[in-house]
Amino acid sequence: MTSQTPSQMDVDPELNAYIDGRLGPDAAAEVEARLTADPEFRRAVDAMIGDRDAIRAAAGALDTGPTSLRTAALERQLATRLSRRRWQAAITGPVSRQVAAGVVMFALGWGAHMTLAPGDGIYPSYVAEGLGAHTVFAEDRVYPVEFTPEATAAALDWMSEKLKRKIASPALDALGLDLVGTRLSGTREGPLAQFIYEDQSGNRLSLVVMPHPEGAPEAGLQVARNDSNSVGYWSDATLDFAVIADTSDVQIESVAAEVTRNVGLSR
Amino acid sequence: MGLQDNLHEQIAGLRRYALVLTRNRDDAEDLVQDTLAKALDKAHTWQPGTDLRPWLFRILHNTHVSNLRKQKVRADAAHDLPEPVMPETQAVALELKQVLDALEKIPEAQRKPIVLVALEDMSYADAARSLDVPLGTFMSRLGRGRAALRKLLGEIKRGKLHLIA
Repeated sequence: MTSQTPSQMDVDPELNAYIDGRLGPDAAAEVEARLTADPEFRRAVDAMIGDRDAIRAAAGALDTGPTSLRTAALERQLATRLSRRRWQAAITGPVSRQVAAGVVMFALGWGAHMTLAPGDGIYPSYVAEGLGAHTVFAEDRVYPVEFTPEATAAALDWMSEKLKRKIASPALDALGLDLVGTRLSGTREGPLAQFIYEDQSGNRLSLVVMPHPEGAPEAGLQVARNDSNSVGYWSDATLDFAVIADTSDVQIESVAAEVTRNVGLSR
Repeated sequence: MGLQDNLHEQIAGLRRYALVLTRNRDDAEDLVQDTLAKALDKAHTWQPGTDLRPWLFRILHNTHVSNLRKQKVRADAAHDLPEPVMPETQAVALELKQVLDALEKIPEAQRKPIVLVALEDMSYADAARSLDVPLGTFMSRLGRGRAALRKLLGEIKRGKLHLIA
């Protein structure tokens, strides 16, 4: 058998994979057999493995020095940006597309109220925002709220001003749902208020309220499924609403009815 | 591992890789910082759920190519010796320095694949993507680079070349 020289070996991907320890047992055994049959070949391959290890050792011996303040600052910024990117993907990615599939039937009739977001599909944008807020905050038990139930009054004042409409009380006590807290956030559609509730077993529900675009038509309750969540949403003349929870469509309809009846959205 | 810890680990890898490439701590830190600044601009191109490493290394490679041009201008203007990045007193340093010196003598296109697979636990496919080359090209460069490196190091042993002063 003729020995392989290093210059002949350079076109052998399997050999490189062997050097890097990336071959499966069978393929590795085949290479081993070739090496056993050719001592010069084995010496060359062993030397290459040695070179690879030496590069690793040399890199390990290099002193990269302390991380500069600027590098550390960039790292923090990038971590924040990538986290946000991950959440955005969670909000506008598969979740929203599933919603889009669920709502597309009646979406077509919504005219001006619909949003055609790039890559997101056609659906009321506040529904996607609400689903995102529910996914991110209501299902997170660590930092779920900005305003505790005790601070709700102040939150309501602020929100009423932002939404340009008096919101009296978000209580859903009649349904056995306790208010856990409130979050306010900004979206590309405007301010978003999210009320988070818990039932006796700790299951969570979000009520999301956003200003209704001026001139857009009002809309009756629609219910769509999104994974295990059911989302009910509707609009009156000035506000858009969404209720989201891991429950049945019937229960979501009950909550929606309670919201319209009792939440006291007096003008 | 959380995203933050993962990113921290990847950046440590970028710094080490950059140092092997540049052999100069300041240049390596500049390269990593430029890479991170570009990653901030390009954060929208990262697909959540995918490995950060190939994405970051790809940005580093693109940045390195443009930095090399700038460094050439700088090198033409000044003849400062690079800051030594390896303690000369270490007994192992000589042999390891030989490896790094030999690496410097092989073409850039071959050097990067060799160092990438030696330092980073990245699949060949990801490593190829990070260099923007097809897998076949990557494997060919890896193989040719290894053969060239072996030849250089073999010659050092035989005393044909004197890479160490």
